[in-house]
Amino acid sequence: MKQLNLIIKNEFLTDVRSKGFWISTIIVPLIIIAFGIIFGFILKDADSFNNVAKDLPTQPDPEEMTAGKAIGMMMGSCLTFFLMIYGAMIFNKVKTEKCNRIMEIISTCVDGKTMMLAKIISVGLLGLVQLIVWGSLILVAIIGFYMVFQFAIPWEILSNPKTYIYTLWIILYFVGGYILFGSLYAACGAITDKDNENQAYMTVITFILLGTFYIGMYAVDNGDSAFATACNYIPFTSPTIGTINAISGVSPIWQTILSIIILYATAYLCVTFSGKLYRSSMLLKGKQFTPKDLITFIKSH
Amino acid sequence: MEILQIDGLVKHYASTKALDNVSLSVAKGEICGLLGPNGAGKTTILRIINNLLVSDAGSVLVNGIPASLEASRNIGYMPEERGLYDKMRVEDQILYFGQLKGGDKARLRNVMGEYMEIFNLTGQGKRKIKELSKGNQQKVQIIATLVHEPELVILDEPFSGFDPINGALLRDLIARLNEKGSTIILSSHNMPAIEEMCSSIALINHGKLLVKGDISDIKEQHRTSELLLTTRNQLSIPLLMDSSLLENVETIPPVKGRKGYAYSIIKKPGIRNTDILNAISIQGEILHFEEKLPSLNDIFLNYTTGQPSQEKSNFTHTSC
Repeated sequence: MKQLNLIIKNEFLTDVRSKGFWISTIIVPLIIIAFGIIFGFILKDADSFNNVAKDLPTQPDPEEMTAGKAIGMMMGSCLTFFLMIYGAMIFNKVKTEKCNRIMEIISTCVDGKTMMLAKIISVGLLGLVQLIVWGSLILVAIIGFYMVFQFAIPWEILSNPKTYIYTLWIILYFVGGYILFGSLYAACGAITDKDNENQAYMTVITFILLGTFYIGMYAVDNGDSAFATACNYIPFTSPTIGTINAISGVSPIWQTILSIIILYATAYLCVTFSGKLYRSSMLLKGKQFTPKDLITFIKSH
Repeated sequence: MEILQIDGLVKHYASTKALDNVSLSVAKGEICGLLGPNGAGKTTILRIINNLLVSDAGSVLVNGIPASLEASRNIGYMPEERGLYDKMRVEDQILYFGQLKGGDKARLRNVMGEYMEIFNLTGQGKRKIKELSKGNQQKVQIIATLVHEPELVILDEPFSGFDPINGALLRDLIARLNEKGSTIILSSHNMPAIEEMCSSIALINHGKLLVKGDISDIKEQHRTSELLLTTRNQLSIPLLMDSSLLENVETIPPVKGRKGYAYSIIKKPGIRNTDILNAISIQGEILHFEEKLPSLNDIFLNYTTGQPSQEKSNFTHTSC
């Protein structure tokens, strides 16, 4: 535990102190706002866009899109994009250690599982800091709007106990999904130091994530279908679909709990496996990874 | 008391046998040189000791504890291929590695200060690793290896990347560590350095341990009957051969910086050097007399290729 804390602290502080982190934290929202404004102006005068916009319903159909589904879908999308950004960061961290051979020194005193978990958590904390910064900016913007336009704030949402239950589901699915996919990204970084091979493995994970995202879109309207129910238990799709189904009330609580247990158990196995891979992969330097190597890694300590 | 005990180590990489029943022990306070050509199995042994690899058979005990993360905490291991975090500051890096090995931060800070002074790095602690020269990065790597004050220090090619001045600094440091009671295993191709610093060597080739023991004992085992002699006046070779003490006498170019006549003598088995000295002194004044002992390089080449070294300058001598 002491080592885990130490590595998390070290990794987190090193990244959070870097100029690149703060530049991206500040510049990314500015770029998004700038793009929004530019595209807004461009699309305002675009005839084809206006024609499409006219056909769109002005208000969502309450039967089709409940608040639960909307929040679930939003969280699923957030998780997908969060993983794409921060998963790549985990991948790069592991790959760097493999390339510069630090892993040979670290592995003498830290077990692979601790190392992987520490990397995933430290990157997660880094993401949290960025989200807090961005969230604060959004909050400031909302307060600004409120002071100018004096719109009503639905405070009653805070007195509803379901808000807290939904928040719990969101956090559990988000963290579980992040650990699961984070460990897969870490495993990809450890497998090989060749850029083209790494890219191939990354593409596979990206496709899984995109698949999860699109299945999540399908589950918004078909949460009670057999396919969506099955995906609720598959750990690679459950972070998105589970969130949507849990919040929209499609899944009973026992299904949600079972789905979360399966998700965390798989995440644990994946962290253990990527830890073994991290320790064993130093032998693969310069050598092409083969599926046969997997057996060696699993057998290793 | 043995700090490291390796017994019957076997390791395969696919169908290649990297280690073939290697047994080796290193006593506390010893400086042991691990020698062998590239691909001999040295790194595999070091990785198994450090719990980075699992052997197929055999056992490794470090201070009586089987190779494990716990046992590794008492080892300072510097692999051949170095690894540091480029963006981290020097002192953060050293303290981080020390703490991962279980060191106390306050104590680590003190030890780090001492080593920084030895390696002339005082005042560089706040700099990032990427801002340092390759030699200074190497120094940081060594400090990070030693900062938790391990009982067993394993250095794989520690001299690579060092200029002669820093090489000498490192040699002094190793001697100091040894005086304080640390056991050191040096894996290197730098034969003169190994010969100078190590009390014992282990020679490995094709995954097999060929020889292990005290350097002086090994040299004694490989001594030849060859003597080198310099006299003020020229000797009569037929007369020397008549003494029935010698098998062969040849004139050789005199040693640089020394006047006189130089000879290479092969003595007959069982003949004492003093008898030969007496026989020669009758003919002329002896300026220099020495028995030629094989250098570590010769012994290494002899074991690994079956060929003794052709570099005469590499021979070491015991003078009388």
